[in-house]
Amino acid sequence: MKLEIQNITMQFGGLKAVDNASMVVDADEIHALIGPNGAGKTTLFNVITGVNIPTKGKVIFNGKDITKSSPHQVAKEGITRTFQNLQIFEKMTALENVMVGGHLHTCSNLPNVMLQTAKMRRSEKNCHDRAIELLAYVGLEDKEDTPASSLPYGQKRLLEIARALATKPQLLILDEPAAGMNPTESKELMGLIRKIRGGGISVLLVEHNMKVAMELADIVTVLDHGIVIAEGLPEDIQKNPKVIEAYLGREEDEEDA
Amino acid sequence: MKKNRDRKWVSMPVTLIVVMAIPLLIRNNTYQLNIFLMICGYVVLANGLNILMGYSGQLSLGHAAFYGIGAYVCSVLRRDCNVPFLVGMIAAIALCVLVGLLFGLPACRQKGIFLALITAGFNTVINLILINWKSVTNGSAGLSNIPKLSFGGGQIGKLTYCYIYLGIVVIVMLLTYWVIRSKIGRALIAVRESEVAAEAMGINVSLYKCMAFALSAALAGIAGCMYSTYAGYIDPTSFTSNFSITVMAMVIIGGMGHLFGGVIGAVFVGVCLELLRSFADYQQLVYGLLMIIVVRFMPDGLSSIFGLGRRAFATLAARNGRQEGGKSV
Repeated sequence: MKLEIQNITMQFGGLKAVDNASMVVDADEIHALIGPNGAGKTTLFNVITGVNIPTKGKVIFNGKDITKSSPHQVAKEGITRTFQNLQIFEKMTALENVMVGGHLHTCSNLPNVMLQTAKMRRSEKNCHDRAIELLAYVGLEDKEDTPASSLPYGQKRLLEIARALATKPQLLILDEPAAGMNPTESKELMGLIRKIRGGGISVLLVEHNMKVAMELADIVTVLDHGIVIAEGLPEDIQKNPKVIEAYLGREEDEEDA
Repeated sequence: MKKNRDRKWVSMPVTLIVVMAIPLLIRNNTYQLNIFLMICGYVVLANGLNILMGYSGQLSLGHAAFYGIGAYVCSVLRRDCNVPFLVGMIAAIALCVLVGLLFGLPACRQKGIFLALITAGFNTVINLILINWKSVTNGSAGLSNIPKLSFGGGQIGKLTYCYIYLGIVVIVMLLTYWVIRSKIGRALIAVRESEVAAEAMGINVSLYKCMAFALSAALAGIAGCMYSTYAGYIDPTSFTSNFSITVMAMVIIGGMGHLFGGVIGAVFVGVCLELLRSFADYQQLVYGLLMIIVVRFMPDGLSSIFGLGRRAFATLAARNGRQEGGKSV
């Protein structure tokens, strides 16, 4: 597994949301992408997952150019994501939500369904069983038949992760997974993310919660005004003057103001 | 979960037996038998729109167009080319799917009220074609003398009609049930609930939207064949966007996105429209009031009554279970 982002520029009219950004996510790594508000993190995510096609640059996944792939094709390649503003299928049960994640691995197309072939029944059963396993994996056992809409916020986040895992990704992209979680919940989340990495899935995460990002990540990339200003080990990043400046502002700036 | 399934295997055959008894009970009343046949057609039609509107979340105000295409294709083929009913129906389905796909491709890029407007426009276009393509459709005079179903040379009775139509309804409902609880059904609901999330799960949203269009067009085609065959006469006024709104009302009243939403809505609206005939000029007024009452007090449609019943049953069962558990301790 290797994701290479090469010189991506994403321009919306006069605004350069991402400017010539490059980074690499390697196998079995937890890679955090951080930056102040409006730094272009979500835009970069959208470029990777095919929501936006970049103005310039390339996204290479396992040697394949996926720059212009649409989101469902990117999912097929093995990259899947969760959303900052939860995108749960509210009217489905928790189990059904995760089963939707198994979409790509279920062979029930229209003819198979209409003829109720054995192959189709088997693959539906597999999808169902795997969804139950995954719910337990993220800590939502016994929530199978609960309507997704009635799950508390933190559990919805976990449900999104279970759903994403059901697509059998090689790279899981988490957009602020700890947002709105209390300290206990985010601690459990960190455990879960490490477990996922342990299972051979690389994780790329955007996180506002510095504690979570710094504790979890093997490598941190810092984005500011669409430009990659630093990349390295968490402890080095924390000391990097450029990063501190981006987050806290420069002293002279304040004097000028 | 297990209990749920057990109950389904009891309630479904019971419902079916009750419904099968209806034509026998009204066998001497041609008028009521006709209504029964008409409602069978509505059930298939509304069920199709429920897949599109209730499950995939796309508004359509043009379903009468597919209904019309189905009715005309089947009638013209059977009347002028003398083909059997089944062949006529397959041809009708094929054309409806084709038109549904052609129409669905651009329409899938639109949402909500825009899609509703486009479909209403499409309905008007098809209606104008039916009126003006006189050489085939006989214009606004309509097609009469559409052959009835016959078997071995003799025409079949109304009662047999009822059972044939009921058979079609059962097959359609079974197929719908299979589709809805498969990955296709899940994908359609996912598209309705969140397109971005559906895409991220690897679902080709445009493809599934088109598929919903094609499936519901196919069912509307079947309904059209059913209608034209028992009525023996069709004209373009039956396929206006006005009727599309009625079909939409069936789905909303029955309950969007419920397996039996289309069925319940079709039966309710079909029966209501007939019962309200005695109000003559006030029929539409009373009908309109009924709509408002249902939508106001049951926004999830009549199906939600069954949901309520089931929930009450579940709570009761849970309470009993707890009590029993308490005793054993």
